[in-house]
Amino acid sequence: MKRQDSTLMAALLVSATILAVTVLFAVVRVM
Amino acid sequence: VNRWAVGAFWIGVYLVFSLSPLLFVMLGERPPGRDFWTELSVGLGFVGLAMLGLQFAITARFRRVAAPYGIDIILQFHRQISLFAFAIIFAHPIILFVVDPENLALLNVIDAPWRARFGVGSLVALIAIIVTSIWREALRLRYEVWRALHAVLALVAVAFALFHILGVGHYISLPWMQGLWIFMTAGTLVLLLWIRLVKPLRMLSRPYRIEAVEEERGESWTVTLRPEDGKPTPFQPGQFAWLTMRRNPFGFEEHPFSYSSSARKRDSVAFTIKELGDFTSKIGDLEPGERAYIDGPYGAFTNERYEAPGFVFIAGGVGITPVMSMLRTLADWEDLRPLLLIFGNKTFEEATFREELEALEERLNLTVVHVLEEPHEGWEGESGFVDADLVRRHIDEEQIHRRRFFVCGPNPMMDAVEEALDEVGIPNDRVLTERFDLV
Repeated sequence: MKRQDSTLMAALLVSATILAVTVLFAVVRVM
Repeated sequence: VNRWAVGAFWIGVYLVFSLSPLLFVMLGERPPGRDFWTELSVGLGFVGLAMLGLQFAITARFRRVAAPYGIDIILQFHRQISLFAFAIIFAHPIILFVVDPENLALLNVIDAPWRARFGVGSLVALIAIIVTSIWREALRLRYEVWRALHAVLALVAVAFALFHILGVGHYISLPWMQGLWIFMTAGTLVLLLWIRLVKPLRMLSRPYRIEAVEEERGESWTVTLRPEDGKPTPFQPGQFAWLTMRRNPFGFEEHPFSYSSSARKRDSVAFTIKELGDFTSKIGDLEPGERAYIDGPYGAFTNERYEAPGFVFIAGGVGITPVMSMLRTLADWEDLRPLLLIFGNKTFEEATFREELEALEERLNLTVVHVLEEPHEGWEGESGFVDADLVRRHIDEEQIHRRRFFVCGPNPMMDAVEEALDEVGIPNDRVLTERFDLV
């Protein structure tokens, strides 16, 4: 894996986690 | 410390800060009659704003944060994550419009309430940031103009978003919520003050003077700077710094350049700069005696952080600059480990430091391999581009898997070399790279 790819991986990982937690937040709020 | 562990730690810190507003919203009361989509939209808006605030922290050039990666990688993350932050901030109003099309009336800036105007204003500023950053060259924006614009628009985007939240008012009813927002705003302001005031003041207190400006092969110039107090800030060979010349350090006229001098030189530092843009094409006009300021050193591209029985440097064009600093320093240490330099240039005439490299081959256990894109008649050395076969030709199988690799050059070359080293079977953690087109 190239070094540039590892930042992309980090950015994707961060994005996916943030999206998942925000969806979870919305689910919990309307429960 | 393990680079993966450090990386995981900072990703964790980033996630905690970016997601923290959700926790605070959770603790507060829920406005009645909200469905899932509205809650999601609100959540995305808050997280997006936190990510905007974090962009200031990412680019504040904190050495401790940047140390394990190098600032080029941090800026790369800054760019990549900005697109996601923009996407979720953009999704915030879009979801509200889809849930209830009557919300579209909020876009009418003439009749809409102030809270909506600020929201729209923030989004417009963000769109302008993205457009001017991605298409800066197509828009013919000068680097300095773009940087100033970038800073102002970013501040407008965050400030307007905060006014938007204050105007909506659901999330500031309780005192501790107000406290949280004040804390976050203050945090962003402190970062801004640090970047725009404290750091420039520190640079101002340590001025340098230009000692010499010398022309090099390959349309490059070496600028030697001597600090007025006699003691330059120590750096590691291969690192770089932001230079401000002919200006005070409070403006946006600073540019990143690699040190090219030996790190063991105790009285002055030198940077070698290629004529590539508006600013760099005027380097040759600089006069000895003029003032300059240095913000640095930065970067992880240095052999001094790694133990290895030898090094392989692969440089393209002016990418030789940080490598030169490492070679000069190794020579000053009388280091006799085996070194290989593969140096790509268009022509032999353009090979910066060609003569000094020849001299260094005598002082060091160094082999220099020139690779010419346009070889002249009678050239018997390597030509074309650096590929896996070329690397294998100049270093034996046993050595290839023990040495550490340093690669620096223009982006297309970097991509090709990284692929070539991958093909040769060099694991990623033994290859250090530096891309010099940071912005």
